[in-house]
Amino acid sequence: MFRSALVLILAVLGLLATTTMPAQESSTRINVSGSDTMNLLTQRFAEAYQAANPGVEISVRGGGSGVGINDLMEGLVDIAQSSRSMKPEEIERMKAGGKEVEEHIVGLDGLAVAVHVSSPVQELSLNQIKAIYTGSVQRWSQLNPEWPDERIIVYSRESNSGTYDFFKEHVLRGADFGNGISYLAATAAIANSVGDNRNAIGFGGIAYFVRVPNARIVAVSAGRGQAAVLPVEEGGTHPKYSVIQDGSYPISRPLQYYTTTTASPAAKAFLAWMKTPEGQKIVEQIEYIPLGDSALAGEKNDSSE
Amino acid sequence: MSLRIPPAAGNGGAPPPGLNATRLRERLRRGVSPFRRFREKTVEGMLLVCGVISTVAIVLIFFFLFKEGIKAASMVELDEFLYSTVSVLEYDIELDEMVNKGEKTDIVWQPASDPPRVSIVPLLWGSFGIAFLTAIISTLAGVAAGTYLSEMATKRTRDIVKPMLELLVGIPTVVIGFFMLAVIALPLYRFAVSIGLEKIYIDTYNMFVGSVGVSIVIIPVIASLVDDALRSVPDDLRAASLSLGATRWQTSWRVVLPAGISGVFAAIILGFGRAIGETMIVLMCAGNAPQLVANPFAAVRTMTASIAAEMGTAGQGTIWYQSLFFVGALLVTLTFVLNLIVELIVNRYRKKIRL
Repeated sequence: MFRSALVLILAVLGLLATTTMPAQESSTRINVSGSDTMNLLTQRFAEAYQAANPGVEISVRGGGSGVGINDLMEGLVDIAQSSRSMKPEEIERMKAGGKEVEEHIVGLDGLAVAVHVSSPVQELSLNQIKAIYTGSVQRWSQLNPEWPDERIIVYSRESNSGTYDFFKEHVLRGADFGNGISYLAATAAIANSVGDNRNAIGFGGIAYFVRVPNARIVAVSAGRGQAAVLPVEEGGTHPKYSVIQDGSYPISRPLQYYTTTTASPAAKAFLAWMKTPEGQKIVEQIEYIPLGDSALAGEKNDSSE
Repeated sequence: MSLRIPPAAGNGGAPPPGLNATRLRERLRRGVSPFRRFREKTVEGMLLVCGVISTVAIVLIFFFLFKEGIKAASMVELDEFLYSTVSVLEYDIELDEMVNKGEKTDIVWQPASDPPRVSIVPLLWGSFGIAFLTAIISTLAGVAAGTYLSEMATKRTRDIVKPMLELLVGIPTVVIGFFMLAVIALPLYRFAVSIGLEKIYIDTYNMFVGSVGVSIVIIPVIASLVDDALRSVPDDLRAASLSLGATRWQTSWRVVLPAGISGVFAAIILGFGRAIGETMIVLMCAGNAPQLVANPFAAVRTMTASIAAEMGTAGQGTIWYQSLFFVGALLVTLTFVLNLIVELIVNRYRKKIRL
């Protein structure tokens, strides 16, 4: 009686072992964290990739590019999504921790500057944008006497976001953000707020602003005398790939993923898949800019070396 | 008509038969059973532990905050908590260029910059601005509501309204923040612009919207406390006033309210303290712009919102991180002092009314 019970228990345990073990082996987990701007992109990537590769489980978490890079440093994630390049001191810290990083560019994003739809502002130079965001000018009329003599309502992302860092580096060129800027936690919130306030200005991924009917993206010129380039197609409902791929739009950035060189094969396979036509289609679907053919070709050469 | 209170039935207030003072004393001296005494001691001990734990927790929080906050004071000069030096950039409209015009001192909270600028003045402005506006709005509404509940409402109305008010206190503040953000802020801005206030009502999310949101939480607190304070005013005063021919309004306004005024003050200060500490509502709908603008319709950022928004980003041990602790320590001190004042007022008031 006692013995048969023991046998039964052992049999059940054995059965459990055989059913759970293979499941554990075949399910691979890839952890991703970082840029909030890229969260949606990575989630779509993950959905499509998981559907095509059962057994792969991908968890995606936001928090900001800085958070993702920190997580990667501490070994908490396999992949960090980042809407800015890693800073030299971050690479140093990784090296100090005995880790090398690899960068994977999977698409491009143009940073749009947008105003309220009723605003007379059609184009701005990089310096004008800088003047607004450093607080050097407070009223529209200080930029152009024909514009209204009203206070500019300035929106920015919080300092933990890659968009903030990218903007500070490429538009403010190191200068500090000025007083009186409203810091919002998400680009979608900026787009909505710009659509709500007639004197507002905001920046962020183009995809977020084309969705808000009351926000209008302005053309940006690199300087006076240079042509202002509008990063959206006529009508303002779609990003214009060509001006961002060829670099004529002055504020664009790569969407990149970072891994350590010792990343799991699963993570590497996932990243490689993003650059396939299938992956690039997803980039396009959520209104980022896919890599141009030349960039893709270059990538291939790099990886074969 | 006799005004004498009829004596209670039976033996008129004497202790019940069979338990006179001598026997009671005897029983106490002999004591209770050992088991019961043990039980008493255990319960007493447990209560003591609970009390000690909460006291220790408060002491530890104080200690930790101040320990970390003081580090900030050792990392930056004290005057940097007030102002810092920034370069003056001017936009040249002819050249379309930024021109550097030397340096000036500026009051700016910009801890992510290099070097970090950590003037806490804009945050103090935000916190106190919102708390004062809230105090004004919720004092007017709260005292009125409390007086109504205590003096005018019928028992039926009161039985319905008071629990509702207390329910309002329990609504998660994030829900109120969301409500203000999604339902109130934008129509309010559009309305202000439509009546020609666009030069004054500049931000969609601003100090005023934040204050209204915080008031939703504070009004019931004040109303409920004012109601309690007024109800503890002896009925003799009301009776005397009414018998002299005063109306109910005159009685409430000139007799009951002044009699309970310290309780009302305590309620207001308590509300002010809660408004200073309120985080979620102001984070969501006060605009989140650390700036010093003497306009209640401009965006502001409070001390609490700064801690909530930035703690995740500030690297441990940086000036930024320590400054947030400094702000936290300041916040704790402020609310502590406010609560102390309330306690003092309430104590005085208890003595006066002889509760």
